[in-house]
Amino acid sequence: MRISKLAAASLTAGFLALTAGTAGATAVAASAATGDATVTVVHGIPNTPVDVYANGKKILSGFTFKTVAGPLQLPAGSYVIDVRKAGSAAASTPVLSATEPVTAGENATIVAALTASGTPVLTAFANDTSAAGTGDGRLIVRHVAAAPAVDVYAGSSKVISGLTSGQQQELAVPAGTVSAKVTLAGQSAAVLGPVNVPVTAGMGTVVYAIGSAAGHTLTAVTQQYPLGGAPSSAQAGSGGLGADPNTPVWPFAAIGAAGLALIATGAVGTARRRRA
Amino acid sequence: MTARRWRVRWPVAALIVGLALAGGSAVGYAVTRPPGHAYGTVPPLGVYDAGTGSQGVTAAHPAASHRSGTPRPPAATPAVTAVRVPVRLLIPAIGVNAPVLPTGVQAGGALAIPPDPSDIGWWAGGAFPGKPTGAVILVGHINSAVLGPGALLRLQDVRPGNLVTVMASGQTFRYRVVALRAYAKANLPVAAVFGQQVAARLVVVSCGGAFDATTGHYLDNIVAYAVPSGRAP
Repeated sequence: MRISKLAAASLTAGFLALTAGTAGATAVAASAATGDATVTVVHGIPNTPVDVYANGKKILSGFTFKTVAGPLQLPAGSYVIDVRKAGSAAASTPVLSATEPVTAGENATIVAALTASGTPVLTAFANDTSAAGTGDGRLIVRHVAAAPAVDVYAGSSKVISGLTSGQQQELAVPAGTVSAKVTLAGQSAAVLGPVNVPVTAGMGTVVYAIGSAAGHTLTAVTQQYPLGGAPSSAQAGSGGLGADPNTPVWPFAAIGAAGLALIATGAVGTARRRRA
Repeated sequence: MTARRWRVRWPVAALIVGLALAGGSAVGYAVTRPPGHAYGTVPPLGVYDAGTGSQGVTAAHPAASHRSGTPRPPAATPAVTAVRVPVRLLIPAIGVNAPVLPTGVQAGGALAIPPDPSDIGWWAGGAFPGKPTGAVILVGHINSAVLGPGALLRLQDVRPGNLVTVMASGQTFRYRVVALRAYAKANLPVAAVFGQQVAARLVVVSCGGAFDATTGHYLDNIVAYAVPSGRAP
């Protein structure tokens, strides 16, 4: 799912979303080997239980506000995503509809959310799966709520300024717990949080601000997904407990070295004798 | 005369003694170092092809003909599968009963391992239990210098035939151990351990072997291979 699909999805609902910080080069995860894509679906529209269809097949039933569904794996390809009010006939006119091309190995999230002005919209985000540094995770904040621009604080420091609805921002964060708070841009009172957000090494943690400020339904949901490509090593112990009984190498090495020294001495002695 | 005879022989004597010491020390180290861990047969790479009956590297789905930006026509009936996220690992034979948390890969390719050594990590980019092909990768600490014994302290004691149970999405998935290996980390067979082009398997990875106190790490990875036990989940 490239950035262009985000535009395609959003245009369907008459809303041009902008993403900031979405890496263009998405690392290919292991599922690429099987041609599957991984998709998560987030429900961010208050008071609107829905059914979600992919190419006419119902994949989520009675899907409600604040729910994160998935991850789902599906073969790469182009999907028509239809969202209908829960219980509606499969042939009825969808509330939201979008065409989403998904590519092998990619990791994407489709969000049914509200624009800043409160219009329902389907937005697709490509999840940046590039590896983070050792011991780091990635924190991604996505503003998909009917609310003005916001600032995001981690503890007492402002880490994101002026994020508008439909936008996202990524942060590299050491593994641990972040106390996150959302305020309206330039203000100090929290409209959301503080909430404790777990950041895990090797994982992306996405925080979605969903709901409506006017409707007093602003809330946060989170999603985690794996970073990096295929693993090539695992460092799974740091204490000696459980080790095989260690055979000390140095006595053998010392004896071996003495032997080699004698060999060298003998060889030199032999050579001298021949020259003499 | 005696001096002359000594001059003839000392280089030869030095050579002989030197060879004996050098060879003897190598042999001595080899016979006294601990044994490796190798039991059973590691399942082969490649996905079993029911059509041809051959074992080879075959994509689970036909090779994607499209490239980024040229989507294929819509699939008529999408095969949407909910990922079953493992939450607990049990290996009764070695006393393992541990929570499982999703994990990913860090820059440089190292699989991240949960910070609490009593937790097991599941590589969320690999297969999940019940998936028809691919390797479910679980990784756990043998121990932590700070926090003590890890969930997989005794992985090296697991043997072919031992039962392994993974709980995921309210279901129970049973596996039987078929092989145990100790690999020097410097020579880890990455495709065998982490590769996904395989028939359904479970791979449990920890550390072991000799401990290098200067680096604070073990020299080996202990790897247990298991296959679905055949019983209905």
